[in-house]
Amino acid sequence: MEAAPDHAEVLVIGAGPGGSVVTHTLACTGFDVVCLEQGDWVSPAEFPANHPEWELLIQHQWAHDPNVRKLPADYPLDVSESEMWPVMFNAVGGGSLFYGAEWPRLTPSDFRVKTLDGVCDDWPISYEDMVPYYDAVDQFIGVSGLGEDPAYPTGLDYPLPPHPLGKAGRRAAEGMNKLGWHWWPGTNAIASQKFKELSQCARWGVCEWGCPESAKASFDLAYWPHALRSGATLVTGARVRKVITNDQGLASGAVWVDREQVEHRITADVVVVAANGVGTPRLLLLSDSARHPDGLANSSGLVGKNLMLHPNCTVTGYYDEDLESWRGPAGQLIHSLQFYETDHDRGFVRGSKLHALPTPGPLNTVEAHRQLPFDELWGPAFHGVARRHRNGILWAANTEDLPEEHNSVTLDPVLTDPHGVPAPHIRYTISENTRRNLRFTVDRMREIHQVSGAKHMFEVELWIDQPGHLLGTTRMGNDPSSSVVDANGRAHDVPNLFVADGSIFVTGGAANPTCTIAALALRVATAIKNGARHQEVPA
Amino acid sequence: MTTPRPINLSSPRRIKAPPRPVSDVEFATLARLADLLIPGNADDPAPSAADGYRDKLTIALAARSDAFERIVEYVAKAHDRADTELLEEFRAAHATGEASFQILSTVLAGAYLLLPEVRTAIGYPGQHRDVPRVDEAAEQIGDGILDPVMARGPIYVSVEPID
Repeated sequence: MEAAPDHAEVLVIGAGPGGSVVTHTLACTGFDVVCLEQGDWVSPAEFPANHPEWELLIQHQWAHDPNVRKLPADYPLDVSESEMWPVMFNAVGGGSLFYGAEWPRLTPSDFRVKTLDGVCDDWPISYEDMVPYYDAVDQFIGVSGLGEDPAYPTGLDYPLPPHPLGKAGRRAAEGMNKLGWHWWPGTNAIASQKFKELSQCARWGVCEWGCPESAKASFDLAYWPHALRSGATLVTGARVRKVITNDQGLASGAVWVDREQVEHRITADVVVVAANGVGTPRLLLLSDSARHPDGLANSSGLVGKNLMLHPNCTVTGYYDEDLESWRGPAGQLIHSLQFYETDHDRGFVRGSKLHALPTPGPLNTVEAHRQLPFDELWGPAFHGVARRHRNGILWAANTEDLPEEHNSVTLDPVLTDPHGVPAPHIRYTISENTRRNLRFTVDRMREIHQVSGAKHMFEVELWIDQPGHLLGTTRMGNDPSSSVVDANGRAHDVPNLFVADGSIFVTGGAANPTCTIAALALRVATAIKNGARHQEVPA
Repeated sequence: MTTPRPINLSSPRRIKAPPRPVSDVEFATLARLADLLIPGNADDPAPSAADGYRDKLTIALAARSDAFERIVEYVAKAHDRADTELLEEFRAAHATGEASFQILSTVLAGAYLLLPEVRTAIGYPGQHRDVPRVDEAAEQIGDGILDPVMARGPIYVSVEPID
């Protein structure tokens, strides 16, 4: 095994979307970048959909929930005080290996919630500030979509054409037209044509359990090959225990443990933490010292606070017609921002983003029917239920949950990972505003199915074990007393420490966040690059 | 001597067999339980009547090897009991979402749905490569279906630039 480096100009912690974008951007510029990743590479040949029994494999061995999956790269989460159980994937590419690659931007209003709705805070940056970074990432990874979605300001376009809607997407769109509601062909980070390292999408329909075709822009494919060719160093199986600081209070590197349990130390001029909304605050809280007694970068007391999880709700409808619902992408066939913005008549602020997906797999269809009485699922009824797998449309929604300090990530006093390091303890309660939003959104999705002709509907008002959108726990802002990092992701307390992941969101919007995480990471990397040029960081 | 494959920290090793083979007696009980949940009809075989069900059950038990002990415990308790009694127990367990019934039924049904003749009967082609025609998206989006959306115009909320 090649010796791990003991110094980097820039040390990046976490090889998921944020870390990969930062690593690539700075390596291209000539920085000596080392990224430490606690997981490994995962070959597309290993994903569960390569096997006929994939629907059983995703229930446990390849589950989204690390507390179920329990792979060596995972660490446990104490969710005993949480109404939802955050999920993640720890590997090169991070959670993007399991994301659906739905790729909507935040809208202009998302950056101005305080101004528009009188709650929470505005971001210190605007939609317009983000557009160049959104555009650059879209171009780099080959996003597929149709331009000029009227839910966004003019000028939005994508490098690759959209995917076919399929029969399920067409049926969903026709329903939206009957209601006069906004919809648009799904924007997905899934290549509709061959693009760089990505194959053309072959509609396997299993995007959220790893793409066997390598067509989905998971960041192990979309960014890491380019980062490595640019000279970056990636160390896998490297679990960081602590970011270390020097006498001046600056970040000076990290202590990490390799897969043989051997402890290492690496020094660095700049440290970028990109472990997302649970891993990043956990690491900063673990990195306390005499100078930073409450954890690193935590003079505001807000590290780990304001956790947002985008509570998901769904209504699955089954129709009489054959909709070929085994066919992908999944990925969103269409999306809707009809209920994205605040309408005070609804009794809550902010809104939700809706997306229609296929329903691949007969066993998954059987599982969706468990809400029925026994005799309507089992016994003679079973065969009819199993046949419905071709006839389904899943309407799903992210609802916007607002930042609340009591929703938090702290260090668990008892539970540890296999290295003896304290595990994260999650506290999360769903607010009345969010509950109203969930109920309203479920009712709208039922309405869509009804007008579209669904014969059977199954709603889940809250998916307890699905929140993979981990946001807000090191929020950005201009005021060091009410935020952890500044508008460039730089820690207020530690000028050579940056955060580049979902933690730095101020509010969560309702858009799937990886698009914004990647654009923010590019913006953070650009700030590091420009800061070094002006000698504002000790690089 | 071969060098053992290093453990991949992020990827489970494929488990190709359950922790131990099920005995003939255990399989007979599992097939009986499966028949109670999935009785055959003119178009669809009962699990016990399908040639390959034991092989598929082995695959399913391997995929959910985490639950193997719970399933064989259920089987041991069910072995001597009458079908009518078991059906009543199933009904009660289904109504309450009882975990052992959930895992038993998902494995029995999952194995059944792996049978090629069942997949054919229900029209499931399996997840597979299905590359679209080059003009497929344009056909499905460009026929006017989007016209009402575009006719309504912008729906986003404009905000003032930051001072």
